[in-house]
Amino acid sequence: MRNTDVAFGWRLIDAVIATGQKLRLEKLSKASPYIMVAPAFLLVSLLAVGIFYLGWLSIHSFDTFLFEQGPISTEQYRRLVEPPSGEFYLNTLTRTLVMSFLVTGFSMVLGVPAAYFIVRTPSRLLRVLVLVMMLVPFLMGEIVRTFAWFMILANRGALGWFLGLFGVEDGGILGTPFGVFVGMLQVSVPLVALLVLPAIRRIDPNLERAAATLGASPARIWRHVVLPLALPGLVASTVVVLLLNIAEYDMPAILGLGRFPFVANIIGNIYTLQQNLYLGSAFSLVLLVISSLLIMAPFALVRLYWRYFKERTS
Amino acid sequence: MGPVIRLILAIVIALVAVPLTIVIIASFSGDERLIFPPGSYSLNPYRALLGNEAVIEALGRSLIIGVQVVIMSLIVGVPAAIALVRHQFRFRISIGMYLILGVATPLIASAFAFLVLFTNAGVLGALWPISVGITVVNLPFLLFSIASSLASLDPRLEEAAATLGAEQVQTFLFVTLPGIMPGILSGTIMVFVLGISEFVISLLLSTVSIQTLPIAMYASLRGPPPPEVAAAAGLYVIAALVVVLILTSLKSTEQFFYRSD
Repeated sequence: MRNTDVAFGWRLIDAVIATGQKLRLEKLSKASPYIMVAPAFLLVSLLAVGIFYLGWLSIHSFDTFLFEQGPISTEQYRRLVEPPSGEFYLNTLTRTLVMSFLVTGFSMVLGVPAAYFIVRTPSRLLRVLVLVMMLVPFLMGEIVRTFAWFMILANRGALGWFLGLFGVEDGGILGTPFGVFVGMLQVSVPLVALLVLPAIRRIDPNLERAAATLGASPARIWRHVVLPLALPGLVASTVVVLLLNIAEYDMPAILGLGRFPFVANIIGNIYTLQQNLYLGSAFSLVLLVISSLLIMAPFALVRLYWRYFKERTS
Repeated sequence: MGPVIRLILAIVIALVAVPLTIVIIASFSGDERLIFPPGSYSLNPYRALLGNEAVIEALGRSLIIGVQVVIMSLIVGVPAAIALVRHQFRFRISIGMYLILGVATPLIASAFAFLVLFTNAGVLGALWPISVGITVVNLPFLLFSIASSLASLDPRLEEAAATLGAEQVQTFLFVTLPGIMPGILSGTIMVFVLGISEFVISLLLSTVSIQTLPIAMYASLRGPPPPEVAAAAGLYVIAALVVVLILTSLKSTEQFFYRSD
């Protein structure tokens, strides 16, 4: 029975090969990598086309009474910066950026040592266990993470109960920026840990031992050995986590009770409440430009750092 | 390892593990209103979930989207990843960078780009535009996963097969494909879970009549959350845990995040 199955399989493959030869597929082999990436390329192009379309819509005026597209103008961008509405949009943008930088900074402080532990712990079980824990928040989904923190921070939530055990009154973190901050940390910290892992792995542990032998304190080893060697990985993961954070939606909406909206919330509102695709396009594009700058900034910064470093050592 | 690192590790573990635990506990609450700790325990939230037709329909839609995302990702992702790792061709690096456009763009901007595109095309209100959007945004995870699997597969194996007279098709089916199966599997699982829990793209591209489960949960979180939300969240947490266990047993996760090169 098994033998006939195998024979059938071989015949099938022979047939495929014969068809291929008849169709002269080998002539295509030079073009084959392009054919292989083409479907993915086309699919991603939908996003690229959409982004160009955002740009096109954002430079048109929009008649909010007739719901009609007007002539080309800078109206949308002026609404984002000029009074009366400009202050609100700019404040939202500033808040989003400040919070994202804060969350990302804290995530580095917590995530990098966690990655270091994963790399250097001698126990394989512990390593896999921590690695697994780092993956779960990412796979839970934004809304479930938000629900979890809602259950912790809400009135009669887990935090209030825990503090009550010590007779401390719950401060009412729900609806404060701190609540949003803590909620965002839950996914940022593990993500940092996973992203810097390869960079820390490449550091030779003997370098740290050498530094320790020469009398360096753990803090000095971190400052002069671990962090400089992991720098490219640190920079890359900072950018990725920043990009993730500036697009945050659920945490400000639910944990901030909508009092401290992020750019994503406002873009969502512009669509759902005002049905204004033009203003929404402009704001989306502003966020996109800022994120592109954030992606490029590290290359300039790292170059500067190394120049400074070389001057000091030479 | 210094005490500072141990302390930080404890904080990180707590930050990750406490919310999971709270969701699981809340999903077995026996109360009318969700409070912590629950006054009594029962399966009521899960029963309420099964009894709530709107939520079950939303769950069904999310699962359909997950399957569509997996199918599309595999069709476009597997050949692309193989070409990018195994073939030398002009613009290889540029094309590779272009394919991860979805993670380089802030999610809300991608969602809005798809919104204006699909509004213009008049296809909003179906499930497949949502799936297309989610596929583009999460495709990089499948690509990374397959690429890391391919990178650890010795190319000499394929060369040996060719030397022994195997045609290209045979080499691919019997050497390459089995070799990268763990990478394909873990990438597929990741893309599926990210698809069923995706939020921002669904928010902008779904209408009231085709709400997905995360959107339905979001809507009910604006007031005091009903028990069935806790059950839905519990299901997501369990799904994430199961998936992570599968990923680690596949060993390719360690390969993925913890390459031994």
